[in-house]
Parts: sequence; C-alpha cells; structure tokens
Amino acid sequence: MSEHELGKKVSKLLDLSANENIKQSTLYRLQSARRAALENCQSMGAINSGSSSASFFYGRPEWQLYAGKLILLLAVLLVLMSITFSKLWDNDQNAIIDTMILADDLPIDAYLDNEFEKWLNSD
Amino acid sequence: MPILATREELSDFLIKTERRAYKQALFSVRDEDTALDIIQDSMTKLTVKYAAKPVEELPLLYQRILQNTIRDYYRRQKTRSLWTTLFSAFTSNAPNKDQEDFDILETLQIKQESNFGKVPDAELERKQLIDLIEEAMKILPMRQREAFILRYWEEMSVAETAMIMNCSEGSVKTHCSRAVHTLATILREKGVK
Repeated sequence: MSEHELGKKVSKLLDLSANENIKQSTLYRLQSARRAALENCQSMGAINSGSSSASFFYGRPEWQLYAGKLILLLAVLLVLMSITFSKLWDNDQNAIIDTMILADDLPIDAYLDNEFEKWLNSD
Repeated sequence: MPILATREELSDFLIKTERRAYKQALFSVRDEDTALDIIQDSMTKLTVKYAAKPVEELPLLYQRILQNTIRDYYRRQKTRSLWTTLFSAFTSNAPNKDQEDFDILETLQIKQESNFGKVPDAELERKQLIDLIEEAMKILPMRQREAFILRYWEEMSVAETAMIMNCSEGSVKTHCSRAVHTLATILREKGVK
C-alpha cells in the first residue's frame, strides 16, 4: 500500500471516529461552544441575492469594529495635546513676565507707595 | 469582488468542522475539557476576527487559528512548568531530545495480546480499528500529527499545510512521510492489513 493510499485509509477511519466516537455530552458542549462563538460574531456579513449576486451588508462595517478603540486613541491624543499646550502657554507667560521684570523700570506707582519703601529698607 | 460569508454560512462551516476539529485538539492535548476549551477559543477567534472573510477562505483560516491555539496551549503549559522542569534539567545529564529527531518507533510499546482479526463481529473489528487509529494519532509527535491531519484528513495542499505549520514544503513532506511510516508500522504490528 502506498503512502497516499494509507493516508487516505487512515483519514476514512478518522472520519468514522469523528462521526461515531464522540460522546453525546461532548457533542452538546461543542454545540454550545459554536453557539457562543456565533453570538460573539458582530461583524459584517453579506446577504447574497442569488440572481444578481449583489451583496448587502447587514452588520456594522469593518471600521466600526474598531471605532471604540479609535475614539479612545483620539481622546488620549487630545488630552496629551492639551497638556502640552498648557505647559507651553505657562512657559510663554513666565518668559513674558521675566522679560518685563528684567527690562522694564519700576512703575512710578512703586516709588509713591510707602509700603514698598518699607519693604526695600527691611532687607 | 469576493463574496463575504453570511452568518448562516459561518454556522454551517462550524457545524461541518467542529467534530474533526475537536478530534484534532483531543489528539494533541489528550484531555477532553482542554480540547473543548481550545475549540471554543478557536471558534470565537474565527467569528470575531475573521467573519468578514470570504467563505472559501474559512477552512484555511480556521485550521491556522486552531493549530495556533493548540500551540499557545503548549506554550502556556511550558511556562507554567518552567520552574519545576528547570530544576530537573540541572540535575539530569540526559540530552534533551529534539522533536525532529524523535523516533516514536523506538519507544512504542505494542500490546502483543491484541485479539484483532479473531473477533467475528465486523462492527467490533471496526470499533477496535478506530480506537487503534485514535491511540496511534495520540502518540505521533506533534508536528507529524499536524502535517498528517492537514494533508490527508483536511485534504490541504502541501503549500497550504506549510503555510499553516509555518515551515517549508519539504518539511511538510518529511513530516507526512514519517507519520505514515509510523502509522503503517503500528497497524502492521496489530495485524491490520
């Protein structure tokens, strides 16, 4: 018997094994597993209209499967961008104040304020 | 444009495949509950991730998922038993046998008291033969069993089998040849012609 013939013979026996040699309780569990798997099936499908062979999607399009993840990613990016922007804005404000302090003379009101003179003398 | 699988087609495909898939998993893991878990996992992966594929691609996809799920199970088992095997590996001087070089014929113990062929009832003979084949499939090395099942039972081409097994076509042919040789020896030892 050739290798191929033996392979086919064993395959037939394996078919018999799969059809006859499985306990009823196991078959029930297989059926439950299949049903559970099909319930999880929430992707798009197609209804074939035989003559025209046109197909219509009755489920959600594929991109919608990832919509949740996409929205989450966008939200995270938005938060990161807003944090970065606020940091940059704070830095700009601080730089402006520092520049004003270093470059500008004191306002005239500071010299008129007695409290300011006291504060200068206190050091 | 490829026609996508409908829910009914997916269901039909799973009905047609589930028994053989269960047997495949059972031959590999040798435990009914684990085999059923593997089937449920692989079915769920197929329906969740690949339901939008054309129906003619489902057999190849499902086989790939199934074989990967079985391999994942073995990886998890390996990780779980890492510490215990690590200790025994240090104490043992025996070389670690590579699966490719493992020859099942050297370790196979055939019961000599088999009464195959002496039982007049044909049905019983057939049952015995099926049981014998099942046992033989369980003791085949993993890669040989995988190659044999995909090539002969699932009737896939050498190229498809190589793709699922992630190896070369030459390796597939070698694994198949070794598997058939081993099965032939077992059957011959049992008096099956």
